[in-house]
Amino acid sequence: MRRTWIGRRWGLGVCVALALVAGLALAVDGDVAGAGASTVEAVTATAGASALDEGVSLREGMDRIAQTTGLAAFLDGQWGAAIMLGIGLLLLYLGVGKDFEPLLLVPIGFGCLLVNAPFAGMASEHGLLGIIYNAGIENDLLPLLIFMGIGAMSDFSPLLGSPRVVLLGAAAQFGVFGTLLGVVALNNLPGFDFSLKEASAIAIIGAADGPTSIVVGRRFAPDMMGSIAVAAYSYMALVPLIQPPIMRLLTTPRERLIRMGQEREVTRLERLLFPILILLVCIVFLPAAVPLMGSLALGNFIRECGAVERLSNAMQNEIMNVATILLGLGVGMQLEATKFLRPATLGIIGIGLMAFALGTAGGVIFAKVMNWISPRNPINPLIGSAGVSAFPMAARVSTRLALEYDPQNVLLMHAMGANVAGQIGSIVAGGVILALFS
Amino acid sequence: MLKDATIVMMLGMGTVFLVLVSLLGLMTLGGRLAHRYIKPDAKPQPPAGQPAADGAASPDVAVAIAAVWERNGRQEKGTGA
Repeated sequence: MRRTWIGRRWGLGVCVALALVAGLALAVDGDVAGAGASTVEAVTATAGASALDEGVSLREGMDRIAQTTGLAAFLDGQWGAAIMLGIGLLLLYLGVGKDFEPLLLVPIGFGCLLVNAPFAGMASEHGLLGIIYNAGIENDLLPLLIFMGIGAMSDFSPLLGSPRVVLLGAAAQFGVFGTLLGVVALNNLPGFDFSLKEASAIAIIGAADGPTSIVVGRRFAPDMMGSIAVAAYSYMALVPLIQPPIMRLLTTPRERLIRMGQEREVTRLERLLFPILILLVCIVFLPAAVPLMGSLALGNFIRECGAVERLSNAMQNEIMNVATILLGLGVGMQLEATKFLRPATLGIIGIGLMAFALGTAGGVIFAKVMNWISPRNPINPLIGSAGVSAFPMAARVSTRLALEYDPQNVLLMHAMGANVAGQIGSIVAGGVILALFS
Repeated sequence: MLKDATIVMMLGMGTVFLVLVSLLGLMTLGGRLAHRYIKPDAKPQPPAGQPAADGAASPDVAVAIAAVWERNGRQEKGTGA
């Protein structure tokens, strides 16, 4: 109550102050520029000038400033920018208040605020966001730097210790390709008209892999890239809420109790050769994915070789952090009102949820199929959901759910194996789309 | 367009499985070769005359871990501690 009263008093004070300044201006203007010129005339007189370089009356100056305020822009038809400012604030709240992928949602949210500031020109060629976008996203540099960082932070030992879980990473890519059908089906609804390229770019949300989503989205659906990236990162943050109900639905209580054996010990040489191996496999089968896979492999090789610890540390920390900030701002730049506020965005948000659900289901069901084919050494189907690339959140969710049913059944390493397989799988899925449509 | 999307789906899943099954084969092969020809990485040994840093090597810690396991087992059976 007291706060409301104080707020009213402040509001009243500001209104009175503005009225005083306006009255004073009109009075002074009469002396300086001559009486009789109305505000409309003054605005008309200055409309053609690009700069007030030949002297100005106080009224003209005030009119000009009034014309270039955000409030004037919002009231003059740019109401979408005001809504986007609200969405930017919402993203900041989700990142800071709810801890949803704050590393990305905070710069994306701030980029959204900056790009929707009327007359600020942040997205222009020489604006901050425009420079970042053209220098780092238009040419895929920042997503690739992020992949190097991810490679330098990833330990593939769990996958090498239990190689069969790599198939779970493949099965979970059903989240991408199953969703493609969903996006195409969405075209039957009024207001949606996605081409096959755009549908593929939207479906890549199912890979649960931010950099891959950005690379594919920028190529095939540049106007929707912001929506695609925001949907991908938001749903990655919501993995602990999205996955467990699907995992419970698709598994029996008996399957959730399956214990998996100890993984075999992995030698240093195997860890060292693995990034070279995935790169060679990619070169042989899918060169379109080499930029993504090569960056991941480079980061991981530098980590495992042990000869360049400084570079490894730089990739994991400084380079990764700088790239994350710039990538977030660049993606936020795509959240302009004209690009974001349209029915397609709602479709992308809805389809994104479906993509994560399909990916989770694909991994869990394939684990059950593997158990049916080879019942001797069964896999706990709960780790199937970790086949999506959301690292390490998806692995944690699998482990936590298994512990709920058996407090001594720790599946973390197996789930981590499936999770890093999901990273590789998502790059391959992105590479297939790039190869098909480039 | 649905037909095109179905073809993309089949090609996509087929390629993903092809690449990852190849990777699985190579990893399995590499693992077998490593198991056969390479000795496991040696763990650093503590200097002679000093107790091991590894907790499992300490008798007190080993007893404590065993006690916790025993207690957990009893609780699970509902016998109480």
